[in-house]
Amino acid sequence: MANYVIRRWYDIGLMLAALAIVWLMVGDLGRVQLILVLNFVVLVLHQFEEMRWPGGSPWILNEVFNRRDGPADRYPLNQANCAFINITAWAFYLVPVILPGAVWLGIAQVLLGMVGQLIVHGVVINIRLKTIYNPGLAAVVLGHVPLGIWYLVEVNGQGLVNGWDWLFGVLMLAAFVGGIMLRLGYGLMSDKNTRYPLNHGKWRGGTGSSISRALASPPCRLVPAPARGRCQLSFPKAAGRRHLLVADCGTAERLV
Amino acid sequence: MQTDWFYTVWPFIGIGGAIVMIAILLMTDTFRGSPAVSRWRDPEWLAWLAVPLYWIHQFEEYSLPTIGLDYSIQEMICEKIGFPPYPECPIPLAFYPVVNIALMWFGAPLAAYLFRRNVLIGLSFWGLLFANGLVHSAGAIAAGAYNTGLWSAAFLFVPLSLLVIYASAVRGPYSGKVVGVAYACGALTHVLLFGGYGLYKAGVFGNTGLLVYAAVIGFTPIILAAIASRFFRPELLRPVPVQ
Repeated sequence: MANYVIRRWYDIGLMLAALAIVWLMVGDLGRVQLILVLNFVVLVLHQFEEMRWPGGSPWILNEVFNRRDGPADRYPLNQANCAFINITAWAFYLVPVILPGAVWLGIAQVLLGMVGQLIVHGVVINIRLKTIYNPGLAAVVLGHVPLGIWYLVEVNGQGLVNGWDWLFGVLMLAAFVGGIMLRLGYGLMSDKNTRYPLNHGKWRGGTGSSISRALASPPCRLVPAPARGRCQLSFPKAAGRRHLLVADCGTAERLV
Repeated sequence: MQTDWFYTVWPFIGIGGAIVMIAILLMTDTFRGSPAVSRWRDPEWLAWLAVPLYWIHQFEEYSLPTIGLDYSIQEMICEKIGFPPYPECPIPLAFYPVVNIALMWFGAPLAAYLFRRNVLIGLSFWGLLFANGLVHSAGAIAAGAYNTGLWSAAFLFVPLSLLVIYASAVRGPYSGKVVGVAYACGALTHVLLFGGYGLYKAGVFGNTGLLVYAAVIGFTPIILAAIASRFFRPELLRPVPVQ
């Protein structure tokens, strides 16, 4: 059972999202709760976009965003810590729904989606990959950002929020990002010899496979940029245009 | 003081971003230009560090009234310029988020991104942080009292600005003139920001003009640094790996 959850948590998440949508339709939810439930649904879609379709976020995280010295199919992110971080995120998003009066929990939730995810997916990963899209960005731009703004307008308009909510919300966000995600998930649970490598055949997802396909079809070449300490991969896209992936030289050499 | 919700919310959005940015800066190699050396000696990484540091500073400057502490930078600015306190102070409240968001949500990340093409632009916002740190610290010493933004200015901006000079020019690969001019561009932006208040008070422009001025100020370090770059040989402005 545990293995099944670790392997298929993002599919299970979709079922939870469907249940949440049913709850939205039949339940008697206030507007703040409605926004928070929708934000949970968007979180699950975001995770599905990252992991399954088009997928490829684990590849981006391990090979490009946070590459460390270890096998990239399991380090630093593996299927177990990936499941842990993301399933904990479900709780991080659902508890504010159950406790809508604790606005600070909602603030932490919307800041993570609206600000944190936008910085990671909208700015950082796109800069690293030299792309305008990466798996997860669509859910952030179309879901987390508008819902976050709606939530902030709503709680301010209803006079539900005070300064302490903001302070505790920010501290909660710091605890989740620093403690759960980075210290526990990426720290203690990362293991080069884990029994849970990322799902075979899926961890590179759409992004990874399209790059693999492109690399398999010549002319793919490694373009060193020694002055910058980085390398670039140059390969043809389906439409015949050249596409550049900027990565560190070790990654680029391994891919070639 | 009754204000629109966004005037309360924006510094908290910034601190949320700062938490994520600092986590990325410290836990990943994403923003490092020279992974072989310590982050604290890597000028490219330090260029990015300016962004979340200023978000922390904005949080200190603008969030204290929200959590019930009686320190308002808007009131302090009106008082310094010689205007009555709000709601009579004529400076539109929108000015503060516009200038801060233009500067540090858009201008500073853009400058840090441009570090890979032009070191002078990349380091220009550190001049703004250094000048800001000195202004807050000198003000506190002169008044013998806390002013909003003092802690982050005195304990983050000033020492880290000096570290950036050390890592870039003293022990680093860049010309002292390049780094000095980059700092001058940031410091001059600070002067121009104060100059905007003066022009507004003198009636040179009105509320709309002040808001436009605020938006332009956000990119002034980049504009000034781009102009100054014309006076340097291109090879002096290219980033090089730190050994």
